[in-house]
Amino acid sequence: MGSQRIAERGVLDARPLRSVSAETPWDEARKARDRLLDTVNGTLADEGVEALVMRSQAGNYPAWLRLEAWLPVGAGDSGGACEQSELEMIVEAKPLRLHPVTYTVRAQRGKTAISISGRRRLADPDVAEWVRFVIGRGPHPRSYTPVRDNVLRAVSWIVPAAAPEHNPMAAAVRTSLLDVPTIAAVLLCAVLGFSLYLPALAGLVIPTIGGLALAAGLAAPVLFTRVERRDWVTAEPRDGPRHLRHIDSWHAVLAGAAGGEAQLKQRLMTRLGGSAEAGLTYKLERYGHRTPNGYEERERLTVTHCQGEVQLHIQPFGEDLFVGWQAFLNWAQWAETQPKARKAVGRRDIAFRELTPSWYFPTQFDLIDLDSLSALVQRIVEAEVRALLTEARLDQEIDFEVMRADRGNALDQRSVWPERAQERARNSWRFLGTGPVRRTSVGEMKLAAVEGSVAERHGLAFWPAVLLLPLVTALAYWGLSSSGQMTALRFQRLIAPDFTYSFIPLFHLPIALAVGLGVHYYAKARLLHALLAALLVAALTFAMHYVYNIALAQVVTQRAITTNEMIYYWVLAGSFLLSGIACLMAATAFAPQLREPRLWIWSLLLWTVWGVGTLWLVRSQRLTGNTSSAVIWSTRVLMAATIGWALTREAGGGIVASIKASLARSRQAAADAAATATVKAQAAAARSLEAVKGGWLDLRGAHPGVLLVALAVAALVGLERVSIGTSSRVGPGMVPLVLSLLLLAFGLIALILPWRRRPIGAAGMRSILATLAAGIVFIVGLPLLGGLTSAAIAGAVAAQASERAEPMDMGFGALSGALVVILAVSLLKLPVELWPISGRL
Amino acid sequence: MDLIDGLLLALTPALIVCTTAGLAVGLIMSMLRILSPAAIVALALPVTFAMAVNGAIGLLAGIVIGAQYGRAVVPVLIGGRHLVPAVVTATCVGFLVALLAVAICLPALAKTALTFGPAEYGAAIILLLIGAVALAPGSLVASFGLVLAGLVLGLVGLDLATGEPRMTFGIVDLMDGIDMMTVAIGAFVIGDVVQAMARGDTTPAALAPQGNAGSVGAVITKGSMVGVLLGLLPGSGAGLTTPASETLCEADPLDSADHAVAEGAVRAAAAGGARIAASQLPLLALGLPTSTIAVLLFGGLILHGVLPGPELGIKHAVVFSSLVASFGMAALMVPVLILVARGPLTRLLAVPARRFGPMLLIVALLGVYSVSNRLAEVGFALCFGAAGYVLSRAGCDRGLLLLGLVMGRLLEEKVRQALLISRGDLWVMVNRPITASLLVATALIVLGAWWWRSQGRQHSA
Repeated sequence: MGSQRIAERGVLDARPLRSVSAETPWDEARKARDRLLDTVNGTLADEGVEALVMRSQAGNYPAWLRLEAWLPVGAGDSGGACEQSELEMIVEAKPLRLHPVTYTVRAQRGKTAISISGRRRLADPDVAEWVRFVIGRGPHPRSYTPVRDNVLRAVSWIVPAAAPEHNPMAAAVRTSLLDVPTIAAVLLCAVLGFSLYLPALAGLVIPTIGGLALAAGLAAPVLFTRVERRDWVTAEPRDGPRHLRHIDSWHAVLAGAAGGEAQLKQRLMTRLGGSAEAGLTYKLERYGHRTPNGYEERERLTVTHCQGEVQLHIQPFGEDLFVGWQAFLNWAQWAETQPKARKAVGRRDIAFRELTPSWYFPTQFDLIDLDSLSALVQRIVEAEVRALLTEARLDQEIDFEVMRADRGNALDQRSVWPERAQERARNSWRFLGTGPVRRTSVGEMKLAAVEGSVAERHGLAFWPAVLLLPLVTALAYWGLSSSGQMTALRFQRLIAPDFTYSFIPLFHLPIALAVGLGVHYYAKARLLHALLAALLVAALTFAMHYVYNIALAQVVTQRAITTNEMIYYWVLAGSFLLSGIACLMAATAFAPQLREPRLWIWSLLLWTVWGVGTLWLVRSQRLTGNTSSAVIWSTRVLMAATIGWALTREAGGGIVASIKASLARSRQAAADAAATATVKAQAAAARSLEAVKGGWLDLRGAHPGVLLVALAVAALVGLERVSIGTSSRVGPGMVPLVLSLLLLAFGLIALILPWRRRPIGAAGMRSILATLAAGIVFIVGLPLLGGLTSAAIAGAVAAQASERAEPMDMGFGALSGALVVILAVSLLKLPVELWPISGRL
Repeated sequence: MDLIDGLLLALTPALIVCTTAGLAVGLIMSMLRILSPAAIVALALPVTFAMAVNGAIGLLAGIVIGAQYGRAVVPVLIGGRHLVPAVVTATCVGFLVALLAVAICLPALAKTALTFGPAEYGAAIILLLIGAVALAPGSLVASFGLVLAGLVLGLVGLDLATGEPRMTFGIVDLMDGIDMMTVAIGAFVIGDVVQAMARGDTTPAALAPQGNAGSVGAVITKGSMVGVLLGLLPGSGAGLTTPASETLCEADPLDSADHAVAEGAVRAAAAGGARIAASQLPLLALGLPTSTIAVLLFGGLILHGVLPGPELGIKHAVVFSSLVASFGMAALMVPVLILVARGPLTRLLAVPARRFGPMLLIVALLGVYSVSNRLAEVGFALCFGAAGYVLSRAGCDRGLLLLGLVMGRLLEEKVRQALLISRGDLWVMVNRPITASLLVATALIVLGAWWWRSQGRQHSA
């Protein structure tokens, strides 16, 4: 995949350039917008209404359309009273999706505001209904079905596919249902189902399970070691996103030259075409603005070269002709997103990325290029204008001096930040205002952060996988055990003499559920795939355990297993290893990003060690009941957490980076603006220059957390020998213990959580140390030197706390310290000896 | 009118002198811009220890009022001299309005409080603690941690019921527990001194308010009402980001810049005044201090063997009326004092913080030593000083630590009593009408604070 271009000289062009196409979803969206525009205008004409209809400009993504109508109310001449109504239609491009274009419609008439979002189709009759509703000529549109939508939306929290906005991945970018892992899974599940529910078949089936499981186990290393990673990016549309900042301009008004408009335009286009250099494109485009006379569209000639853009306007004004141009730097560009879909093709893991309008930070080169471009345009314009004046025999002196804007700050990023902050304020969701539609006003393009936008998440998947999956697992275990489903069954056949095999049928169900949820929510596997993954976990764990036990039974007897410590742990380690392999295999079949040997090795090692450790704990501490169950389940919870982490981790990132990234993702999704992190940091910095926006696990300035944790640990150590008592006779240790544990938890969270922190800094450290030193001098000196001397020395030392301490401050500190002691002793009769000798005489 | 008779009786010359002296000290201290109002009150506690109860109350009340008013007036004195009368009047009116409200509500509330059992008291304490956390400025998690830290620290020492030492590590000085005064002086006074010394000398000119206050009457009324409500909230609603409370947020006295608007300064002054008075209501009626200042007053009263609570008006009628009288008197006197001594006070503002920092440190160390007579206690205070600076630097409310410390024993006692009575059934905290409504109020406060925070975050971003 991807376009590999061989240039004429036989050189492989591997520069990081995306292919450009005229048939991208963004172009489709533009066409759809034009279709909507025609329908809206047609409906308005049918109804005999004239209203304001605006549409998105070139370079403005997503494409939109806006209708505003002021409908007169009351009979006849009611003095200008009117009902203001509006309709917005947003057409979003969705590359990689089944439906490449989606529609969002918001309408407001009077107090009624209705909307639909993310629809896959919007037929012309539907559009006409929306328009009629907005101009008060019709009922609610039939495509507006709030009850149904909200029910579906609620369901979609659990089953994402139910959402009215659901737009599945296109067939080309998702693993098909009839691939090898799926077929294998179906077979395996079928075999297991028979073996569990038809005991008569068990005798026949068990060797089959064993064989399959062993085969799978042996195949695993081969299957999952060599994986090639491929990246695939959607093609760019021809029009890049625009976020223009003005640089230079020039204009003149040619008196009495209105007749030459068409001629001048034609000649300029010819000249520009003739001088077309590499990378220079020009085109005629229409652009519109709201004017006091309603919406007005005009034509302009746009010349673009990389991030520079010059817009040429030729506009008649009465008898005169306006000619002018404006040069802009474009601060926007296309950026690739995080992979939106993955597909396993053979041993290839293909990550599909799409594009999003994002920031571009111009450099000196861009400014130089733009200068050259505007000089070129100016040269051509000057020649053509002079020619026009000569031909039309107009005697007018034209000033061809270019007007330069503030070039000193042309590349200053800070001057752009305020816009981003405002943009965020507009996009932010209000409390309880979580309507289906983003609160972005149309026409304001949202630029994603340069590093690419976040993956789309919905419903439960909004949670970081590393938290959701273990939570689900733990809840499921708790639910199963409290409903009494966790009973062990004895397998009907003796595996070996004196060796019965007992198992808990539902024991692996929770982790299977977690794996299924994981691949469905985070690896975008279909529901059926996810179900199969879950069943596969159950099937493989059962089969592998069974085979393992048969093998073990050949070696040792049941008695040895229950009595011999060594063999006991050997059995358990194997069982944890096997269930781990089962989970990883099942998950990897549907989430190609898990195919990584290092991930497998470390996860299996971690789970096995952890699992054996927990059982050692249970055995050595003689834990029983709920505690022991919880300890035993913790391994499965850990498995779920690890798999969750692996599913959402970025390639090459460590654990911390992954937690950071996944939490950052959900945070960003909540803020609904990926570009805000920097803005927030800047705003925080503006509030306090030294403030640090600590990230997760960022320990800069985390001193309060350290203090809390230290105190909690000290308290717990101090409570070691204090009796706790019972709930009806609370002992002296109970309340402090509970409080200390809570304190420990909050301290740890305070250490980890990101919040606005201000590191102590050198000045603060100096102040703390000097003050502590002064205090110690006072404490040590009071019995040895007496109050007067020690207070004086302490005062002098304390004066050192300030970075600007001068000798005079030290003197003043010493003097005031001594004075305070004298006053306290003489006036308040403080029991302090002024001199060390006074008490001993 | 019993109250008025009591007030007139309480107005002894000693009380008047002490209140005036307290006012002067509070004003001067706040002009030095080193200590926050809470720290000034904490510093005064050891001094009152050596005094008779009446004089001590007068001095404390004077210092509380002086420090708070001084704080409100600092920005005005720096920039908008023309606003001084308006601000001073606003504070005074706000305070008197709230005092009147307190006087009216007090008897009824005290009557209700007398019916409280251990479970109800436990629930009320939990409401107070959680509410204070929810309404505190800074990180919610850190605030929770601070209250818990205070509670844990409060439980250090011998267990009252069994005499078993807890968390003492065999240190004899810890057997009696950690003194509230040590923590108060450490975390507030020493912490503030460290902060002032580290801050260097910021030019206070930036704090000067701009423009004129519009309709002073309306602004004062609004401010007073806000102040009364805030004062009743746990922690005095220090974290609620109204312009009124932001200026009085206890974390960093001179860093908040919302004095910028004249109207804001006046409203903040009115709200501040009202808040001091209103925050006394829970203290006097229930024995539960809701603000840092109230915690310190609570400690000051306990030093003199007076336990604030519903029985205060009955058992210690004189103390009660002295308290109300000295507060009222101080509030009436302070505008006069500020207007008269405007010039010298303004001159104090120009003194760099590093000049008087060492002196205040020595005063603090001597104060701790004088109360406990143990040098180990001075060492503890130093540790709390460092911790206090770190916490206030991080934007946490140090008052929470103190609140937890004071409430620790009380909470444990009430919980243990309640569990003993109910034979180990924790539901007793939930299924009685008063406890249930208190817990519902807790939940409402937490939700409300959360909502407020989320709104504030949106506005500030």
